[in-house]
Amino acid sequence: MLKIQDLHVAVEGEPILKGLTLEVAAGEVHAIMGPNGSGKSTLGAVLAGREGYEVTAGSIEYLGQDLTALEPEERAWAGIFLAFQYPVEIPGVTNLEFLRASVDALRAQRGEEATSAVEFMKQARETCRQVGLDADFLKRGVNEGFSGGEKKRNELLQMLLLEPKLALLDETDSGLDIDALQVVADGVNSLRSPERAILLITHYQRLLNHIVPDRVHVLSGGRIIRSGGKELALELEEKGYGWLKEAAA
Amino acid sequence: MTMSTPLEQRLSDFDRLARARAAELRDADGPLTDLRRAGEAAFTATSLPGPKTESWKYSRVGPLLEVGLLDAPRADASMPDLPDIDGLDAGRIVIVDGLPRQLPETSVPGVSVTRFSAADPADLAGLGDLADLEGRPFVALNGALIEDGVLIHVGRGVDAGTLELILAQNADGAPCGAHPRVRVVLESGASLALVERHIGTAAVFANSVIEVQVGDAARLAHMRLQLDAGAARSLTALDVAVARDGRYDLQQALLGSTFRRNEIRIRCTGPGAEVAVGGATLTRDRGHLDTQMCLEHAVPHCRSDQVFRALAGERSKTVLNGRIHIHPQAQQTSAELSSRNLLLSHDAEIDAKPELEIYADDVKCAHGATVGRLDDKALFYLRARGIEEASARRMLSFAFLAAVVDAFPLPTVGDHVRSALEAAFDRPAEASQ
Repeated sequence: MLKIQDLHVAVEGEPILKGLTLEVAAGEVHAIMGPNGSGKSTLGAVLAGREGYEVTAGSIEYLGQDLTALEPEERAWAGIFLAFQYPVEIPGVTNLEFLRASVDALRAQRGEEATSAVEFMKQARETCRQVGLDADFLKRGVNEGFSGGEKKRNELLQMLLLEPKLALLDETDSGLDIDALQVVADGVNSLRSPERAILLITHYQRLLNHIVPDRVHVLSGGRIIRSGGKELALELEEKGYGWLKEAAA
Repeated sequence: MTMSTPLEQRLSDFDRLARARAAELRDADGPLTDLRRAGEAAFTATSLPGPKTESWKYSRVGPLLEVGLLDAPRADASMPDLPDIDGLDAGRIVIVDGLPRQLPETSVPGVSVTRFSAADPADLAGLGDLADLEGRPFVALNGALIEDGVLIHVGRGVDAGTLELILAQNADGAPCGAHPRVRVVLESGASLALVERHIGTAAVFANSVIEVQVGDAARLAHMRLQLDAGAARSLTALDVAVARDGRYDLQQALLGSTFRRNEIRIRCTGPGAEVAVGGATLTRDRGHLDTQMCLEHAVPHCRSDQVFRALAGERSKTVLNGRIHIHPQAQQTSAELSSRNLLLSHDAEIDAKPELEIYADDVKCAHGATVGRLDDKALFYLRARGIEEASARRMLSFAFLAAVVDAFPLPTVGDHVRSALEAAFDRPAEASQ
């Protein structure tokens, strides 16, 4: 589904990713772990198409097409979803209005009709319940005044409504208490299916107790320096990143 | 008049024609004689704003000086089509080219809406006392050239419901000079919702003066809608005094036109007075919109809160001069002004100038003005959710205006404003000249 080859990415002329290669097949869950500043969030941003992240070499192929040629909204239409590490507050646009615009934009691209207001409201309320957000959050401005945990639940809410083919979760676990972590994990696990791939970007191993990955990769200095099965995460938890960095150097 | 005529020449031509018209009207007998004479005297004593007049720095007076814009309005001019605001239940006052043409048919006890020409002279006694003439040649000109006006009077403790005040242009597209004049008096404890709408896109020079007296513990919800763009030359002076424990709420939705300038002076004259002002504005193409705002805190324990949100596209220009003046005796004043402005194009211009004059020491005063562009992070967030860039920009632009549009005290008017602003935002830009 996703094939990244020798990817180099620079931000304001500063190289961040320096030869990253990664392949994720449909049905798989991969975890990208690594110390702060290793380029984890850059990977999420470049996959979602954020401006200012310049691909200087290498390629990203998604479902057989060159992902870098697509605008951010075209990537969303193609089934890519990035759960933001820092969701943006947008006062003046209600969460409901935003969710509906988003769901309808994707439906329109698939040639489907827009949802009716009543039907959508029902679906949004149900999904709110699933992620543990009071339905009142639908009436509030997008992420406006939400706590850190509420913002993460709101990302999950969007993800469940949009049903992406490739879900990228950028540190969705950071700052969550154990209950919220469980909710996020349940939500992500409910999306697991043979047609879908999930990429978890995380600093800590604890999320992986709840969402068991097929593959774990360690990102350091802009490259993947080690890949393994789920047991690699436990090893990292025990030993930290230092030994790997030394081994790679 | 060609553009090659020097400004000085055009100013002096305008001045000469204006004086000649004022002289014709001067001695017409009636209750307005005093107002005319005072206006003529003040106009004669004040020079028209030239390129060096500070308060006119961003508004060139040129578009007001064209031939025809001083012609007298005709009482038999065609009435324009005046669309309703959906769901608005209000008595309607229609002024066309400055002349009152329609007053509400049904009357509420304690509420009178009359033409100046038909009013008891005693009721007109205070006319002009709120509209300072000094240094304001166009307010003076309004007085000098006035032919009639409308007096709205709400008696003590009376709830007058909603009135719609329409300032419209003739439907013939005939250029002329209109000098609408309205005086609103709310006696103590009275209340009124006033929906003021400016309608017309032709090259009419409308030089309006509105005086508002909010009595003790009275409440006025004033909504001002200038939602027609086009070639209108619109200049308004709104002078308001708010007495003890009175509340004045002014919410505005404004589009630019060839020339549009609103001078607003609100004075808190009694302790406990409260003022809220909102302005949601959009200028496009070569539109011009200038707001000169002055809030005077003359007595203690008053509060004012002003919120302005402006969008400027293409080669348009938006000006906000927000002055707050706190007099020495006005202790315990709370005054806030927030002006946030978004440039939608590289060629648009926004001049947001805060002016604070504080002469009392025990006050709470906050004043902020920002000019920027849409937030890239928010834009990316929406696009990453599949919302196309143009839709995302539109969504964020209206989110930005929502702080004001949502504050309209009548939801029906808020809805009308929202769709009018959306239509103005969505229409294609004029071909660039």
